[in-house]
Amino acid sequence: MKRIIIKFFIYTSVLIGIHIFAAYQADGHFDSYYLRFTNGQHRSMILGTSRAAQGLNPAVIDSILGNYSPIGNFAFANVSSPYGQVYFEAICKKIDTTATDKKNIFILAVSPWSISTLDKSDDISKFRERNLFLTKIKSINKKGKPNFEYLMKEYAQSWGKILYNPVDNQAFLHDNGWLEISVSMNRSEVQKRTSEKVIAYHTNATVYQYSPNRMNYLKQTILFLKKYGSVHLVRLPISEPMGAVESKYMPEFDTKMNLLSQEHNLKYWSFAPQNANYDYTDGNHLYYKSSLKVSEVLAKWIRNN
Amino acid sequence: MLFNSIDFAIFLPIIFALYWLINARNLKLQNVLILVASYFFYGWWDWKFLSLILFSTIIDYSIGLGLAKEENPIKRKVLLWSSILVNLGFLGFFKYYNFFLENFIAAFSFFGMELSPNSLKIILPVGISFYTFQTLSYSIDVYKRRLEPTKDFVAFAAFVSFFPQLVAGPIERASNLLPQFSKKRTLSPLQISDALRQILWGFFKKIVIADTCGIIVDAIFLNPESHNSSTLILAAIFFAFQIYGDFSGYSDIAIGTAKLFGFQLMTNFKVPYFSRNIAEFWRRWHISLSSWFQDYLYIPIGGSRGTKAKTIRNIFIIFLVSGFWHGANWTFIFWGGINAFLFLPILLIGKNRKYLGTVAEERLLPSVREVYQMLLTFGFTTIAWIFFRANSITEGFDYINLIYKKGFEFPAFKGQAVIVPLIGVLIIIEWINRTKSHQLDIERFSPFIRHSIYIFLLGLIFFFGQYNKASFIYFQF
Repeated sequence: MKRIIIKFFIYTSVLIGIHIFAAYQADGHFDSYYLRFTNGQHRSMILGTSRAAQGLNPAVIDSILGNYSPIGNFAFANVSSPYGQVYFEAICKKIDTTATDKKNIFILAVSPWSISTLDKSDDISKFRERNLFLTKIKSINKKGKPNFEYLMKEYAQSWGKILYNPVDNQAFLHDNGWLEISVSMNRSEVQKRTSEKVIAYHTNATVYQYSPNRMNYLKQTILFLKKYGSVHLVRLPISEPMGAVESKYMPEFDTKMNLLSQEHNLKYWSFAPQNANYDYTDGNHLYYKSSLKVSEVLAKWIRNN
Repeated sequence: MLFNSIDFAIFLPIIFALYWLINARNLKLQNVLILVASYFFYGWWDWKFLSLILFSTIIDYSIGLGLAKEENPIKRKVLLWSSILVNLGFLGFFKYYNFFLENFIAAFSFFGMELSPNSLKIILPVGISFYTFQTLSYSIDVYKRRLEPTKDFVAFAAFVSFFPQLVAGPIERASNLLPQFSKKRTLSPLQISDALRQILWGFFKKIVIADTCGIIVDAIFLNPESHNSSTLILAAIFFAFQIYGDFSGYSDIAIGTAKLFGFQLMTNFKVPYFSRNIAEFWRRWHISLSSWFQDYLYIPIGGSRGTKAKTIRNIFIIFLVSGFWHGANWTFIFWGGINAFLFLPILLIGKNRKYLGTVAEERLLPSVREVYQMLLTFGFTTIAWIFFRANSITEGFDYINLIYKKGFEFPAFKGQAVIVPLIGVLIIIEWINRTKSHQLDIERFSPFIRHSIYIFLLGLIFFFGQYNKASFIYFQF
């Protein structure tokens, strides 16, 4: 009996050991969100959905806004981080409110979808992000790798894959939270991805609707963040066909944001008039080279205002 | 609690240690521990439904005692039917209420009468079909005086809720499992290693085979129009392996876990895809359910005794009911019907009991004829599985229609092609051990080979398994 217990113990220890080893190897290649759960708290933050996750590069912004505390990208996706209770509570955990030596800045990327809901009753208990990772993961502000809670709850692949096969070689998540996507920019492929995305958002436009509750949470987020630094609202650029879908879905979006910015005495910057100046991977997300340009333009605008 | 979860990885060693270290000399305490652990295991999913199990347990325990005392045949029948009505009543309400309601509405609307009764948002309690059948078998066996009713409530409650097989079987007969709660259980090193091997094999089938196949199958069945014929055929084959890996994997983990506590559960799968005809397939697939229906439905309604017409009727009844047992959807009934059609000719020509042994029993490899028979049987079952997997019968036919319509190009699985050699590993190991009680029964090999196999399988789980904690398909039944 003793022998079998020893053998079992050895197997179990080795198994646990290689899983821990694999967990330590997890980097920005294997998951599009993971490193945002290992980079601790941020004093300055980029917030929003995947447009901001891919479109705003903290390193570029930091290099221009040197007198602000370093900024971290804490934006996720339209499904998981629209403005609402879940995202607000995650932001409250992620923010570092301790240091006061430098000015803090918060860039809130907004879009019609981030203040919209699928649930007609606008019931916050039925919001689409309710059962996703920002609700489940408690260690949002963990500093240092690995974050076992995230890996165990959210990583659906085998942990062995961390060692040999990144889930998506085209995506690389930087430590500061910026998601760099390097897909082929071949004209026909971009067109194909764009038309698929436009069709998907056309469908979204038929099922989504403006959510007063989300708008209230956006206001609540602004009020909360204003206590710790300056807040800026930004509408990131999108391709022309995607812009047309949005204009049709929520034509009064810019008006809403302008009113909001006036109400809270903030700056609102809409890139919509410059949509044609940038390249997009799928019509909805900026190509990484364009995202560097947009980050630069935005940072200069913030610095000069 | 899922077997493939961290929760279970913590739960099992704790219960195992408590069971053998603290309670080794006290049978009653062991049974109490099993009962508490089983209720905890089930309550981890939803504690509210524990009351259903408890109620079912109390009813069948009391009816068992009542049947023991009662000699009057009419009163005995009343007691038996009380048990049947309560158990099937729960099952009918939780599993089939909305199905019947929707079909009544559809039937009335067909005749021009519009009804608008409210459907209920009913949550199907996990495992209800399994433990209901288990308790029913107890009442029926006691009624038929095939089994002495137990007076030990704890032992009976532990039998009904025994956590390894509570939520997805094997559906144990009271005559097999219940007496084991009254006997001293033992544990030997051989028993532990055998149990752990079976558990490892179960995890390999579930995490590597079933869950990887599941990713491909889900994507293709969701949107079959955008795939070519060869991809559609392979997706159907992968579903055959998914459901096998998922369900037989669960059964292996359940049986292995039960062995760790000194219990022997019945074999639920005997390499079914090595069957040479459909009759053999049904002797090897979900044996605990097939034999349950055979003993408690097919034989009581006449079985194959009597006229040919009656036999055909009985075959259809058993297959259709078996299909309906799987879920409240016409697809399952249709799937049962297809199997009845496939089974019937074999029965009618008297070849249903032709292959009672295992294929190529004394040989390393099968003959060409046997390979052909196995492939043909597998092909038939795979076609039937398409309807089992589809959301509606029409969707199933559409899928088959697309196989004919679309072109045969090279199948594409976007990074999941590794499943093909993994299925190869499954087939080879199952073939080598096809006559054994489970397919990782490798005690006969040298320690070097055994440990090489363990490391190989653990490596496959580590590198190719899906850690997505996917639920078991049969939990929904």
